[in-house]
Amino acid sequence: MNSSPPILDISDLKVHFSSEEGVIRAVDGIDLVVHENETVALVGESGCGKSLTALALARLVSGAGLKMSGSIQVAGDDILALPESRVRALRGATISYIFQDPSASLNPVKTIGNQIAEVIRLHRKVSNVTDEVIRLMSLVGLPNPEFRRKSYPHQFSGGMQQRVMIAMALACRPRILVADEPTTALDATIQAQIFTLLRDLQSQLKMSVLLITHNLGLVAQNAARVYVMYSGRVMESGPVAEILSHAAHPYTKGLLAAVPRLNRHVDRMVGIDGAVPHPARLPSGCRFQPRCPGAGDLCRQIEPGMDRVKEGHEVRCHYWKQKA
Amino acid sequence: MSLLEAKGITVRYRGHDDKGHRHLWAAVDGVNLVVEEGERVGIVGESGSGKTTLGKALLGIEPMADGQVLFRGQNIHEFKGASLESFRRGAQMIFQDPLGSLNPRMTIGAALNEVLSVHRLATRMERPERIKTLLHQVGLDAGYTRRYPHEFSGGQRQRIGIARALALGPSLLVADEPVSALDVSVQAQILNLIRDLSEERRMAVLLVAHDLAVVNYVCHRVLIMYQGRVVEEGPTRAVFGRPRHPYTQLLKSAVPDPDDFASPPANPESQNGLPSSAPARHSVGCSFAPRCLHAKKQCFLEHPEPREESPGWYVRCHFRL
Repeated sequence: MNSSPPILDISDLKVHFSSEEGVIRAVDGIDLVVHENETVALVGESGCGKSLTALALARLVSGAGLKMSGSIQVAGDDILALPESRVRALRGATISYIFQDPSASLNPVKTIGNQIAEVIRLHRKVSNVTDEVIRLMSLVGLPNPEFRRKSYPHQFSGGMQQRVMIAMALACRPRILVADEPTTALDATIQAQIFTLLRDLQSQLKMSVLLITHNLGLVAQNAARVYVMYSGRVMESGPVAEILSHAAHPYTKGLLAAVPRLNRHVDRMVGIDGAVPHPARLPSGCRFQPRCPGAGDLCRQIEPGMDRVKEGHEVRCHYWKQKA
Repeated sequence: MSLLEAKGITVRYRGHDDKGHRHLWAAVDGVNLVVEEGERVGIVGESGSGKTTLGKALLGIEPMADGQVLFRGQNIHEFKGASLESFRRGAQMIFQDPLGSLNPRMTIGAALNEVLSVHRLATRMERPERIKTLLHQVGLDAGYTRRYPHEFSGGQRQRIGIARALALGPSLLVADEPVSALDVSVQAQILNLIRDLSEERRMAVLLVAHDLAVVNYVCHRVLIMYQGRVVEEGPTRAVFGRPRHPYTQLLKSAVPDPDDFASPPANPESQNGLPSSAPARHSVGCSFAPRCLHAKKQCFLEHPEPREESPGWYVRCHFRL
C-alpha cells in the first residue's frame, strides 16, 4: 500500500445538471484518493462520468443548471470552496491536463515554441524563456528543438502533438497530471511511446498521475490502483493486480471478459447486454442491476454501499461473496 | 475458384513531397490478396498504412492505378448492367461510424425498404416481413422500424448497418473498423454477430482494423500492412503467436495486455531520436527499414520480396528474425 500522503482526496463528489428531463446525475458521489507519486486509473465506458470527474478537479465543468457538491482536496486546498482567482492559479501549476485530441488543444496559427512559452510566462518567472522551451521540448523527446520550436501544429504528427501537450502540461511542474484518454486517437506503436515517456517523466519529476481510460491493458501496464466507474458511481476500487485478477464486481468481471486478447484464445466472448442507463432516469436499487446477470430482488430495491473485500479493495455489490 | 482474387492492387494519390513538389505516391502498392468463400480475412495496419483504401479498391469504389480484382473469376471493372448490379449486391461494406452512412431523416424501416426496393429483392407486400426478419437477424426489436438513426445507441446503429448490408445477401462483407467507436461491452456483441452471420451464410468477411486482438478473435487469416505494402501474411494464430516481421513484432509488443500487470514492458522503440510516426515514403529498400531495430545496409538498398515461412505464411523481410 502507498503510505505517502494523499495529494488528491475527493469525497462524495457530485456533478449534477438540472434539465427539462429532471436532474442529470452525471457524477453521483465519488470518493477517490491519489497519493504522491502514484498513478491511479479511472476506468469506465462512455457516459460513466469519468471525464467529468477529471474536469471537476480543476473546476473546469460548466453548463446549464450545474450543481457541484462534496469536496475535492488538492494539496490541502478544497477546490470547490476556493475563489476563482485561486483556482486559476492552481490550474497548470498544481493540476495539469492532457486530453485525447492534441490538435484541438493547440492553436493552429501560433508556433509550437510560442505556445509552450506562453504557459511558462503565465505561471513562472524565468529569465530565458527560449532556453526553457528548448529544455522542455527535449524532455518530452521532440527531436531538434532549436529548429522545431518554430514549427506550427499541422507540421507535427499526432504523436508529436501529444508530446507538445505534455511539454506544456509539465512546464510548471504540476503535482498532479490528469491524462484523459491521452492516446486513444493515436496508433498503437505511438501509444506505447507516449506511455513510456509518461512513465519516465513521472519517476523523474515525482508527480502523481490520474489516468482516465477505457483501456484495461493500459491500466495494467501503468497504474498502481484503479477505480471502476459506472453510471456516475465507483463500483469497485483497489490495487490493479488485485482488481484485474480477482475482480469482485459483476460489471468489472463483464468488462474483463469483453476485452479481446491477443495471448489468450477464447471460443466465444461475452459482452454485457443492455446499455448504460440515462443519467436522468436511473434504475431503482443498484445502477448495474438491469444489466447484471446475477441481480436479485435486493438489488432492485436497495443500492449497495461500498463493501470491503480486503485491505484497499472495495466493491459496491450485495452479492460479491456469492459469485465465483 | 476463389471468391475474390486481387493482383498487384495499386492506388496512387496526388500529394506533395518534403520540398513541396507535386508527386504521385502509392497509398496501396502492389498488394495481392485471395479470399475464399466464407473465409474471414483481417487487414491490420496503423493510420496511413492503406488498409481502408485497399478495402475500397477491392469493391471497385476506389479507382486503381494498376492491378485487377477478380470476383468469382471475373474482372470487377468489366461488369456492366445486370452483372454490375449483381456484384454490388454480392459485395457489401460497413463502416466505423454507421451514423455517417444512415440518412438522419429516414426511419430505419424506410432505409431498409429502400435497399430492398432499389435492388428489386422483394415485392411491396413482402418487404415489411423481410425487414422484420432482417432486424431480428441482427438482434434488434422488430418494433424499431419507425425510429430514426439518432434514437439508437452506437452498437444498435452498427447492427442497422449490418442489417442493411445483409438485406442484399452478400457473399463478401468488407467491414472497415466496425467496432473501434464502440464500448468494449458492446464490441463483443458486434464481433460475435459478424462471426455468426459469416458462419451461418458462408459469407466471407474482410475485416479492416487496427486492433490486433479484434482480428485475432474474428479472422482465419491476416495481412499486416505498412505504408501500402503487405509485410506479413498468414494464419492469424500463427502470425500473432510468433510474428516474424519486425513490424508485426513491434505492433504486437505495443498492445498492452490486461493480464500482464507485472511491470511495464520496455518499449522497443526508444523515445528519443526515432521518428514517432511513419517516416516519409521512399522508393528503394524496405519501407520499414528506417524504424527497424534489425535493419542492415541491404535493407536500405533492396526491396525485400515475400519469403514463405511455412505454407500460406509470407514474410517480406531480408532476414529470418
